[in-house]
Amino acid sequence: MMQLYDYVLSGSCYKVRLFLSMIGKDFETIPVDYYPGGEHKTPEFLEINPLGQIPVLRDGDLTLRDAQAILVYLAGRYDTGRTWYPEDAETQGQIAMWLSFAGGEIMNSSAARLHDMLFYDFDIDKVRAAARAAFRVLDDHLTEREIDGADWIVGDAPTIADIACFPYVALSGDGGIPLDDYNAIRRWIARFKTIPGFTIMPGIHAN
Amino acid sequence: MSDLFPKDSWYALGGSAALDAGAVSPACLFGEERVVWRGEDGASHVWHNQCIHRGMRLQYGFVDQNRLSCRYHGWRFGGDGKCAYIPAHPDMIPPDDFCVPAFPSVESDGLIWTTAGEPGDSPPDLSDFDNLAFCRSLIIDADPAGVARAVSGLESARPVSNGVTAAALSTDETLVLAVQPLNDRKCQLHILVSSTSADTPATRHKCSAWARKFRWQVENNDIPQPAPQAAGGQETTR
Repeated sequence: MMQLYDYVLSGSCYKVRLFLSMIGKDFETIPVDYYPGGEHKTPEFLEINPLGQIPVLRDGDLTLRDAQAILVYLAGRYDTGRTWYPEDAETQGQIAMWLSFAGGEIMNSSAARLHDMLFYDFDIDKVRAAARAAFRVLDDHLTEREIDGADWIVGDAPTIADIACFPYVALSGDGGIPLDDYNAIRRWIARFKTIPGFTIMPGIHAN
Repeated sequence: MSDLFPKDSWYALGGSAALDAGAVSPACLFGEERVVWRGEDGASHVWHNQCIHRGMRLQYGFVDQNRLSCRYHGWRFGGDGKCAYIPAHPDMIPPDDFCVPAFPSVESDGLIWTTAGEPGDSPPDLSDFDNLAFCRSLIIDADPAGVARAVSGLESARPVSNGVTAAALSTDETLVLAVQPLNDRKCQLHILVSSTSADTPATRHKCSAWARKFRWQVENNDIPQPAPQAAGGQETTR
């Protein structure tokens, strides 16, 4: 069975748990003592992922790091309907753009949360400002998608772009960034929670 | 802020279409927090954003038919703001004074309007604008008075009511802009457009792009200066 190196409070691991739940795929979790143990920085874990990050997915002989990469793999391998990562190049290009945003700009929200919850030494004003700038980009995008009658980041149905962006947007309050200024993001979060198979994590409740 | 934005006036909080039945949303006016929600019966409500029980923000609650439920202990409040049910005391009839302070919520011309004071009459009448449609709202990180000045400097700008201004987007498209003062550093601009193609995505995209550019100009102090006006009467005859 597929194995996920997992930490329950990690929004990045949550991306993978969410998606596996939504496509109805069973998996085992291998808990990583991220905090306070710092197990992800031990030599043993660096053998699994030299970047010292979670999640890591093991499926047979394949070992994958990076939540976005894992989502691409899982969608390509197990989503028989091909709706989560459609096969046309135009859609895939757009999805890749938002996957990169999810692993890049939005991670400022993760940094704010690590600062506030797990005492990481980040410049909190700087990371919050960067997270807000990213949220504004997403909020404008979703506002203009709504003008076209569209509910999701790319295309007519939820894709792995929505999955990758969701956790650290929805968890932003943990890092002291309320979503009050992002009307379209809040509406998207409410829609996201209605996707069949949606699961919660600490800090994110069901509707 | 008080001259341009009297408390005894109506202010738009958002588009009616942006608040679905069952939706709960935070809002703010003059630094006072509000919760805005819509029951399954379609009625919208604007309340003080705090549960009377333990002070939880009601914006995190959920709509249960035509009641708003606090997320914390599940107290249910009916459309009149009165507590109707307390899950921990299912047989208790809550006293009449278990009540969340409610503010007016009036929907007209595609907007939800409220007030922080005693405005008396109804919200601004925008029925003079033909084919008026709501485009979007957007937050601007700038002092509302400065935003109001920037709005009044737009081409063909003319005041409609407190916080509401009409301006030309093109020769046959008129913007109707409602400024909602959130606090001293932030406001929300609600954008409507009057044009024969007001309700088309193309026009709404055009207005949204205009609004994003306007937000950038205001936040970066890059306001286009209005054309110099003719000097006042005395000076021209001097």
